[in-house]
Amino acid sequence: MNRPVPHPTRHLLMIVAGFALWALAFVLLYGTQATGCKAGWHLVEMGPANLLRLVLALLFLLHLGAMLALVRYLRRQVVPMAGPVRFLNRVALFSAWAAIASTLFTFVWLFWLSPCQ
Amino acid sequence: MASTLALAGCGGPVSTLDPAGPAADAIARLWWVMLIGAVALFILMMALFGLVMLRPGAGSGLSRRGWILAGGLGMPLPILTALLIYALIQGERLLPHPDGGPNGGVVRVEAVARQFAWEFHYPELGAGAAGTTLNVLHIPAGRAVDVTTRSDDVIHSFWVPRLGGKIDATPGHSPTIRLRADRPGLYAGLCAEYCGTGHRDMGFTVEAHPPALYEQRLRAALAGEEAQ
Repeated sequence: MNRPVPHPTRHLLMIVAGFALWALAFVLLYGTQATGCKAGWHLVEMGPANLLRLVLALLFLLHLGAMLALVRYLRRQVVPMAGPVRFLNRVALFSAWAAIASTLFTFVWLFWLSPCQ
Repeated sequence: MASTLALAGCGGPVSTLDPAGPAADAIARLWWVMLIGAVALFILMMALFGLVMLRPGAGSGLSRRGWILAGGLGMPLPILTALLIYALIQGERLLPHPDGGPNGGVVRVEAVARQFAWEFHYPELGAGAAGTTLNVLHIPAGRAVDVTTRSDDVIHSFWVPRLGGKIDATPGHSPTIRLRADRPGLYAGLCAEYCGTGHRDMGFTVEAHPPALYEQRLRAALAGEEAQ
């Protein structure tokens, strides 16, 4: 029995999905950092860190998890496909890996840099 | 002749390439590091370009995929990563951390911007010495000075190019920048954010005094302003 073929638009959208998650992480982390500094979350000590750093770290890890889930989904999708759709899916997969690398490169510093000085 | 003319632009009272304190020095050094890196990469790219033009097929020892990986990832990634880490470390050092600086802690002043002048307050002088100076900021040389900015009207930007970076003066916010002048002297400052028709003339002077004379000279300046 043949599987129903998904509409190609979905594969096009999948190409930008990884970097859309990166952009969402950027906006949320930036907004949370500014809000947390204004609200004084960085002054609330929690173990070796402070409340603001913990919230930022949580947001970072959530986005990283979402991107890894996206990669897993795309890897499963690419196997049974053929032709142009398979190509689109492979591009989406590489794009998602690039988004993960960008996320690590851009945001990993939140574990170390001063958030509010 | 051309290089003399070009290098003449590196001096002057508002030159970031003539730093007079650690903050401006760090910024100038980063600029030089980036310039040297950019020139080296430019020479490398031109050399490769010249090679393939003069000797077609010279780069065929490396596959097409190899060139893409080496040129697209292998070369820029280490350079960009090193530059990023260097800039982050420098940036972190320049922040006004509460631990202060050498030579007896941090001096705190306030810079209030309004169209089209700067007013400087000295909250640490204590009672009986309240007052402001207009368009002249007095600081001690050799000590860290935290300048907290605010604005009474629109967005301005406080900038003393020979002492450090810029910091916006925004209504409703009070950001702080740490500066230090290594030696006594006069340093030119300016508004670095277009703020209206008088923006061009919204300059000020930073007067760095010998530390032992700072308080005496500041009190004299405040008394002089009051008398005017």
